[in-house]
Amino acid sequence: MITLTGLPTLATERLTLRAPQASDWPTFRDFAMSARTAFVGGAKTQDKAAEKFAAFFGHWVMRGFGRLIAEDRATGLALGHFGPMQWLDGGPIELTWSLWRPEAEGRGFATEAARAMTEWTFAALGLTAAHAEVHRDNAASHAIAQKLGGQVIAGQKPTWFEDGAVYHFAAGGAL
Amino acid sequence: MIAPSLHTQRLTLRMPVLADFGPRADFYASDRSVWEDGPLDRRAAWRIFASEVGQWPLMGFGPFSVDDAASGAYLGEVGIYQPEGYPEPELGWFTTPEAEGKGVAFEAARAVMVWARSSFGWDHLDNYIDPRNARSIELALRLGGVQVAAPGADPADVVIRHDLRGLA
Repeated sequence: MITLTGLPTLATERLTLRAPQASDWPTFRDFAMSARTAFVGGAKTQDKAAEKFAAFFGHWVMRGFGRLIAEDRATGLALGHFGPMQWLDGGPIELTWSLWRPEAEGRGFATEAARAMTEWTFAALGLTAAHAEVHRDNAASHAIAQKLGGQVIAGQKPTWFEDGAVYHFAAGGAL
Repeated sequence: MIAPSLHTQRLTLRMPVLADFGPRADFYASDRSVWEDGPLDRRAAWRIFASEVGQWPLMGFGPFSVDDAASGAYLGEVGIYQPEGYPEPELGWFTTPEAEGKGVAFEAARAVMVWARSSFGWDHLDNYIDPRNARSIELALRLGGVQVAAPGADPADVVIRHDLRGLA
């Protein structure tokens, strides 16, 4: 199989965060086309889901960072994508986390993966700051942002949602 | 997997890098992209460009950035694209406004077709072109392509097939 090379692998207590691979597509597609995306832009068509999936790879190739896939070491299942992304050159780097599988919720997996990803992002990229955007009603994601030491930037509106919060993360913050 | 470098008389074809996004974003922001679902804003353009470059590790083919071999100036992009919904890998091209009308896409497309034949052994490679994109259709025919009744990316697409069997 053709793969991305040179990407980090991060190990947490229960998870391995590794490079995206072609075999992640069916699971990602099912997530991206589902109602689980209500807080991250809504369900996509299959074409748009595939475009986003392939863009994970191109983002790594061109920017040298991007999304990793969290895998449950106990089952080998891919659980979701976690990683820094940057839409625009010179724009903020956004920390992102998404659990693909509903059955993986409520077990602390997203926090565990997001924490490892955030530590890696600051260490590897030498950043001093990063952002995360969270929809108003996405309680689980607000909880993660807060556990990772994110501070709400007063008055700043998310780019992606009508209403929500933008969190600021600083290097060396409370992870 | 990254793109090999291909060399023609006047051009170098190579793996895209981040700096190549600027001209693509400009293209998508302009009316020149009207036959490619444009105009599109910069974020939408980035998603498309990143997904196309992402085809290299996913599929082993994708876009080549095209430089002037002498000056190193970026001239455009020619490559093989197969996003979701495309029945087959497609030959596509784009040039900067400055590089138009100089045979750049023609020369680069020939090199990509030779590379595709030698790398994958494909018998043919198709263009999917909006029927109103006369300039692109003209180029496809000038390259020796023949319009065929095959499915494209969109039901209205003109599909022009290039026979690769005589190449490489």
